[in-house]
Amino acid sequence: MVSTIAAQPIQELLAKGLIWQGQQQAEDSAQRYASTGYPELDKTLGGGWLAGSVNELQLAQNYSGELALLLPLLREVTGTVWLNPPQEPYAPGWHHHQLDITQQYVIRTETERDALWALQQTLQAGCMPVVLAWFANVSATAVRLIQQCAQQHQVTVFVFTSEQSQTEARAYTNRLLLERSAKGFFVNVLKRRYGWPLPPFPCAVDRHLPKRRLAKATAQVVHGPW
Amino acid sequence: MVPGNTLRQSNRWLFLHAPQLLLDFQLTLQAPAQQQQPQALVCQQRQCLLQLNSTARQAGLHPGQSLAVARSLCAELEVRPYQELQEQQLLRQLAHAFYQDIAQIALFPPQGLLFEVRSLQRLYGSLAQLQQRLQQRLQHWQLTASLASGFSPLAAQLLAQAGVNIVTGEAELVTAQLGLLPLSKTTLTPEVQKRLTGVGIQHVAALLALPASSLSQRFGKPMSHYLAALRGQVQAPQHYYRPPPYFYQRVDLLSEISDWPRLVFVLKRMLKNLEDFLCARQLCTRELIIEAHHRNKEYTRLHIRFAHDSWQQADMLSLCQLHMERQPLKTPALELSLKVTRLRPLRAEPQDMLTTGHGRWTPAELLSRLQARLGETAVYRLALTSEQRPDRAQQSVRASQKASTVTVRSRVRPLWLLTEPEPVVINEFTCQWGPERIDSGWWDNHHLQRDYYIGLDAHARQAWLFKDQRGWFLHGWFG
Repeated sequence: MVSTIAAQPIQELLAKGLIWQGQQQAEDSAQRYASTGYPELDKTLGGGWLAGSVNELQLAQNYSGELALLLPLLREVTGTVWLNPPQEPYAPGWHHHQLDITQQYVIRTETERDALWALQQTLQAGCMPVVLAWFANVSATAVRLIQQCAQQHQVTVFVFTSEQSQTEARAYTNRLLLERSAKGFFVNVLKRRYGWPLPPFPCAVDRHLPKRRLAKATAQVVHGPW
Repeated sequence: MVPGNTLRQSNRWLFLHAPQLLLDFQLTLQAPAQQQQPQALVCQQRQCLLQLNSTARQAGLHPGQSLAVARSLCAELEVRPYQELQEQQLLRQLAHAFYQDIAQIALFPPQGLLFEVRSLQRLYGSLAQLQQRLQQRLQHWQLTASLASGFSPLAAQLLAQAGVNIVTGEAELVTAQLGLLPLSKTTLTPEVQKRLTGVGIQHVAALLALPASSLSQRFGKPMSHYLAALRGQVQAPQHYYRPPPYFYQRVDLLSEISDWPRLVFVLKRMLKNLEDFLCARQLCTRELIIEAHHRNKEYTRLHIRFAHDSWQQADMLSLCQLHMERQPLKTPALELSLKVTRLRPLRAEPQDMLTTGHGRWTPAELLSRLQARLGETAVYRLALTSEQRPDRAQQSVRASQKASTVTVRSRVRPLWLLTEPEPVVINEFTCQWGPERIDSGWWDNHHLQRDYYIGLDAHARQAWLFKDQRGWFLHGWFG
């Protein structure tokens, strides 16, 4: 008797769609995922980068391997927009990784307001499947707007920001913190669809980068004369 | 009695007379409330009215009236000087609009157009259909005009100028109408008209009834030529209108306008004209030049470039508006002009299934929009060059430009390049790989001799470093 009374509100809430269920993932199998190129990351994100999703990549430091992380995806798509990258993408480097350099478009804006406008226009155009955008900070409203636009036009967006100390809620599909230490490159899932946050796990981005010498064994040797 | 040969002729010509071409056009540029104001164009030399709008007519004014009388009848009359050059330019535009329906158009400045219609009979089937088409166009232009058929250019001209609307294939009807015209409606000199009146000839009918030989005896050769032209016995060669290979339109704003938003209304109309112009020739363009002319003869120029071929008004207008937002108008404008000199053939671009996807816009259209607001250099692509020197191994190209493809040997290079190499303290880095010597450019003034290394920084990031005579520098990042 008691149990039925307690269950009643939950059934109602479920009917209204107010409770999220972990098992819902199966329903969305029709959604398009693009493989990240890293099996473990694919598994974590439910199949890869979701088309029409907005992903936040928090960077402990710039240039630590974030582009290597996206390299498998960028190689597959035609048309990538780079919005306010921190430095100039270097064509010979991309050429080395068999990326079509003619399909990379760089946009530079003076203000964040213009950047948001350009991002919105790009999403609405729907002709660029991937957008990489660097922002100092994005308001919750802006994220929601970007998320709606991206979903409607099926554009995958990556927003690069610095590491956020306090985590305010944002409408991102995934929020990942990318970190590099002497031990390697780590992905820290702060938020993901259909899953709990995960502790940092290593990601093999280094196979796309010049070979590293094993730090410990050879440290003394290479530290030597330049 | 009309000589027999005119009877057998069909009406080969059509004449359009727009008595207030300039004023009608100016009215279309005004807001509805302003259109209701009594307005007139005046001849500055003779100080008399030339063209009036309907409100002014209702106030009892008529063309030819002196300005002083007009002002006393209607105090709030708005008066502007009549500008012949502007009207001529307008006539050419009108001819251009009709050029879509009619191949042979001759200009009769300042307010007339002559159409040769016999060659169009097979195209339109009947004159009525052609007339319907022309009326539509006139409505679009919001013009008051009279259309008259004629067996000769002169006959059609006289009828149209007298305000007679008659579109018919039958020469008899034209002859009858023509006969009713008083001599004052002909283009004979006042002197000749006076002499004809002196011998009792009041109407054209009487003139046509007289044998040509006796008239020429009495009034000389010019008279017989005039009659032959009227009857269509001599066919003077016509200079038919040919559309110009560029587009230019300049519009008087009638009052000073100090910001772009209020100019949009006028611009919209000009762009519509441009669209018609481009559509008629199956052309498109990638740049517009909009100039706002100021009182002191100076102008503000807006050079608008698109990354894609454009010919539609709405498309061009939205890009123009983005440009206008970026460049505010500093001085009020009196006139606005639109110029397009670079025209290219319109063709269906083969669209890449992969790049366009299910997008609303093509990449080129998107780039046009972005460039319009952010500036042209704000959007670019990168291209490889065959240079050895790292700074020059890539160049940024305008997004609209087709990238040239060079085959470059693939080398280990970073994904990021610093625009300016940064001096670094080398002890903070751990050597990973190197050196690679780059020694190039001895043929110009930018000789470069560097040894490149890959090093790890304190955060274990891979940096692209080089050493030259000046010391150690950071030049790029992997990752």
